[in-house]
Amino acid sequence: MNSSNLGKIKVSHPEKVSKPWTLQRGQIWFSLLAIFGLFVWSISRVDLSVGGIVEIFEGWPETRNLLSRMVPPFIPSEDFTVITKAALDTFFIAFAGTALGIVLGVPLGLLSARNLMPFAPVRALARAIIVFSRATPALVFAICFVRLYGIGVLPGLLAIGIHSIGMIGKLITDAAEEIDPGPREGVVATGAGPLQDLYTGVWSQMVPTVISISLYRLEIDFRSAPILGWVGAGGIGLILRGYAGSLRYQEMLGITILIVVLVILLEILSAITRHALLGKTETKLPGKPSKFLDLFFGDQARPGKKVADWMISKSSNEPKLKTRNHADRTLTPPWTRERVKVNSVGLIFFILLIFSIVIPDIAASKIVNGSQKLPSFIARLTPNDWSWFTDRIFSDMVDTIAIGLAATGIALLFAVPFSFLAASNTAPGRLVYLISRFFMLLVRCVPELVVAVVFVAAIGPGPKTGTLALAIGMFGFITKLFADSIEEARQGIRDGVNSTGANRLQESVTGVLPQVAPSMVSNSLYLLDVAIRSSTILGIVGGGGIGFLLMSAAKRLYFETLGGIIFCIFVVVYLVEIIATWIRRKII
Amino acid sequence: MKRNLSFKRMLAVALSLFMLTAVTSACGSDDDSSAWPSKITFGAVPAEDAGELATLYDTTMSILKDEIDGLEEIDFFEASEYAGLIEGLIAGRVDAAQFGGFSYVLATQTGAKLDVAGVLVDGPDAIPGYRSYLVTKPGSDVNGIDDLRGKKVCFVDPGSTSGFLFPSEGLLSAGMDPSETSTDIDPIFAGGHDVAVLSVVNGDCDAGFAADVFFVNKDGGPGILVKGGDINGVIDDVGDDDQNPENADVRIIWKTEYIASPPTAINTATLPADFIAKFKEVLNTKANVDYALANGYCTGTPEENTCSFRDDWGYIAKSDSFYDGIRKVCEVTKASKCD
Repeated sequence: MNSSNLGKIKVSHPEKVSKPWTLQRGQIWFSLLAIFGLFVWSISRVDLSVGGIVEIFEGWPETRNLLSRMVPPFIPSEDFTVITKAALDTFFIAFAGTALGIVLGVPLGLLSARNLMPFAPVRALARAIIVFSRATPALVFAICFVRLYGIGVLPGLLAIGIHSIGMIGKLITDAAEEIDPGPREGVVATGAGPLQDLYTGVWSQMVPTVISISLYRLEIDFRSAPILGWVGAGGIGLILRGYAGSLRYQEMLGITILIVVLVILLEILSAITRHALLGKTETKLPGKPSKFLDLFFGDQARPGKKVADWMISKSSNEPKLKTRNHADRTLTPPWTRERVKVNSVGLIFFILLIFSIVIPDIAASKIVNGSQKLPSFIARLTPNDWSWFTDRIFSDMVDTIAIGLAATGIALLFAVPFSFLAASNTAPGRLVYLISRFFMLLVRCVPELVVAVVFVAAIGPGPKTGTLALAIGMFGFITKLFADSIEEARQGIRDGVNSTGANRLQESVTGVLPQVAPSMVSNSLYLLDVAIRSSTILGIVGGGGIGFLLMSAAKRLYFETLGGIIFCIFVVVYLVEIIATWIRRKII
Repeated sequence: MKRNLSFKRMLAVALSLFMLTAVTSACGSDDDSSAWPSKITFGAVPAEDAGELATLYDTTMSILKDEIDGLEEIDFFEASEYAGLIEGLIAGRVDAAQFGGFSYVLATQTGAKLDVAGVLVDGPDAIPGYRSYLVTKPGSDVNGIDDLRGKKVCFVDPGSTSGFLFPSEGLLSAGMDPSETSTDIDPIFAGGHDVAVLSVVNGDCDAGFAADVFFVNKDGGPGILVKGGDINGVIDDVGDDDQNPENADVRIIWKTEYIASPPTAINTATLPADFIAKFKEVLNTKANVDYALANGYCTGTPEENTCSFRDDWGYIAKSDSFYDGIRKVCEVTKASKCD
C-alpha cells in the first residue's frame, strides 16, 4: 500500500471509486500479468498440463507397484551404527558449516557496508564474493569440494560454509548500513580509533542481529545438509543414495522419515535457543519484512515456544546480550540470571562447535592439501571458449526456470485457500487450525531434494517429477507466510463485511484477502526466487533441469562444462533475484 | 478498498485462464505391447568415461532406425542413476537401455523383464570384459587384498559392478566381510571411480577399487585419470600396466577376474518378440564400425573415425547367461536384492 497513491484518489462520481492508473500501478500490474503468463507457459513446459497429469494417473499401476515396494519403511538394525554416525555427521556438517559461514560472512558483510568501508574497490570485491556464494547452491559447491578434499564431512562442511557466506554477508551488510550513527559519533568523539569505533560503536549495536541471523542460517543449513551426501559430501545423504541405488526402497523411505524427524527436532531446539537468547523480542532484520524471517523462525518457534517461554518466564525485563563485551573497563556487569543463561548458551554452542570439528576427525593437513589444489582446480573449471555452451545447456536452463515457476504457481494455487485454514482468525475451528499448522510444519521440514528422490523412484525422472517435489516444498513455505499475513489482517474491516450479513467465505474473500494481497504478492515473488534456486539442483537426483548436466559433467570429468554450467546458474539466479527485488520494491 | 476488488476480479480471471490453458494443452498417447512399434525409448546414464550422453549412441540409433522397418523414432531417456533406468524399464517407460552388468542383474531380479540385445566391444574379436583394480599409495604397507583387514577401503557405489560387487567377492575370498556394516574393514563409498582413486591419493582411504580404464586405456596407454592429470603415474605390482612409474601416485596391488561387459538390454514386456529378434539382428550384425564406414554412416578408418558407438567398435551377440558370472558373485556376496 502506498499512502501517497491513496491520497491521490479523486472521487469524481459515486460509482467510480477505483484507484487511478498511475505509472507505478501500471508497472505492478504489467509485471504481475507477465509473471502469470510465465506460470502458464511453465506449466506446459514441464508437461504438467492436463495431458501430463493424465499420464501420471495412467502410470498409477506402476507407481502403486513401486510404492508397495516402499512400505513399510524401516531402518535395518544391522546398519544402525552406520546410520547413527551418518546422522551425527550431518549435524556436524550443518553446525560447523554455519559457524564457518558466520566467521567468513560477518567480516565480508561489514567490508561491503557503505558506512563502514570507505574504499569502493574493497566493497565491490566483498560484495562480489557475497553475491557469488549466495547464487551458487551448496550442493554445487559440494560437488567441487569432493574432488578437492575427498569424500566425507570436510567437503560438506565447507560447501555449507561457503554458501552460507552469501546470505549472512548480505544480511550483515544491510544491518550495518542501517545502524544508528549516534553511538558511533559518541565513540569517535572520545577519540576512539577505527577499530574501537567498529567494536564499540558498530558491533555492540549489531550483536542481537548477528545472533538472529546465525540461528536463522543454522535452521536453513539443517535442512540442506542431509542431501549433501548424495554427491559424496558426507552424512546421511550417503546412506540415502546407497539405498536408492541398490533399489532398497523400504530402507530409503525409512531414512527419509528419519531425516524429517531430525530436521523437526533440530528446528525445535533452535527455536528454544532463539527464545533463550533473544527473549520474546522480535529482531527485525533490515530491508526485509519481519514476515520474511518468520517464514523460517516463526513456526518452528511454536512447538518450542512454550518451553522457551517457561525458560524466560521468571524475568520480565529483556535479556541483556553479552553486555560484558562493551562494558566499562572498571565495571564488570553482575552475573544476572540473564547473563548466566546467555553465556551458558554460548558455551554450549562453543562446545558443540569443538565436537563438530574433532569428532569427524578433520585433519588440518587435509584442508591444506585440498586448498593447495584450489587454484589449479579453478583453472580447470574455467572454459577457454564457448564451446561448452550447447543448445542442450540452453534448453535445460529454460527447463530449470520453468520448473521453478511452475512449482511456485502450483504451490500458490493450493496455498491461498489452505492458508485461510491455517490462520487462527479465519480457521473454521481450533482443531482445523491446529491440524493445518502441524501439517504445514511437517511439510516444511521435508527437504525438497529428499522428496525428489522419492518421487523420481515413484513416477520416473524428468521436469514433471522435479516440479511436483519442489511444489510441495514451496507449498509449506507459502502457506506459512500467507497464514501469518492473514493473522495480521485488521479486524475492523472484517467486522464491517460481517455486518452486511456475509458468510464465512464472502467475509474471507472480501474482508481479508484484499488486506493481505500486497504482502502475498510480495512474498510470492520472494519464493519464486527461492524456487528457481532450488530447481537448479533438482536434476542431480533426477528431477529435471540443469542439475542433470551439472552432475553428468562432474561425473564425466568435463570440468570446463561444469564451470560453464555453474556460471549459467549464477547468472540466472542473480538475474531472477534482481527482477524479483525490483518488483517487490514497487509493491511495498 | 476498491483496488482490492479489482484484484479479486483479476484473480478470478487469472484462475480461469490458468485452468483453460491447462485443459487445452492436453494431449493423449497410447501404448500396446503387442503391436510393432514406430517409436521406442532408449535409456542410459552418464558414465565416467563418456561424452555427451545422447550423441554417444548416434550411429547406433541411425542404423537401428534405417534397418528396422517401421521404426521411425528413438527417444532418448536419461536417468541420473541406474535405479532410475531400472524403474523406467519396470514401469514400461523405457524399451531398451545401456546398462552396467550388475545393474542388469539387479533389474532382472527386481522384476524387469529383460533380454540381452548385445554387448559393446572394442573389436569383433575383443574379450567383452574388463577388470577392477585395487590400488594403494606407492609407499603403503598394504601389498595385497589380504592386507586390507582393519583398513579404510574406498568402493565406488553399492550398485557398481567393478566398484563394489567384484571387489566384495575378492574380500570374501580373503575372509573379510565387505558389507557396509563390516567390522573387518572400514568401507567408504566414494560415489565415483575417479573419487575412489583420488581418495586413496589424498589419504582418505588406505586402498580403493576402480575400473581399469581409469589407469590404463585399451591399448596400454594412459587411462582417464592419468591423461586428465589427476594422477601422475601408476605402478603395477601384479602386471605390466605401468604408467610413468617414476612419478606414480598409486600402485596396483590386486586385480579382479574379467567382468562381463555391460549389456544393451531390451524390454520384453513392452516390445513384441518379432521386433526384439529384428532389433538384436540389426544391432549385432550392422551396428559396428565396419558396417557404418562401408555404408556411409560415418567417415574415417576403423581406428580413427566419426562413428559413435560410445567409444567402442560395435555390438556382438550375447545371451542372458553371459551374466551368470555376475549372478554368482551376486549370490556369494549376498549383495542387496540378489536373492
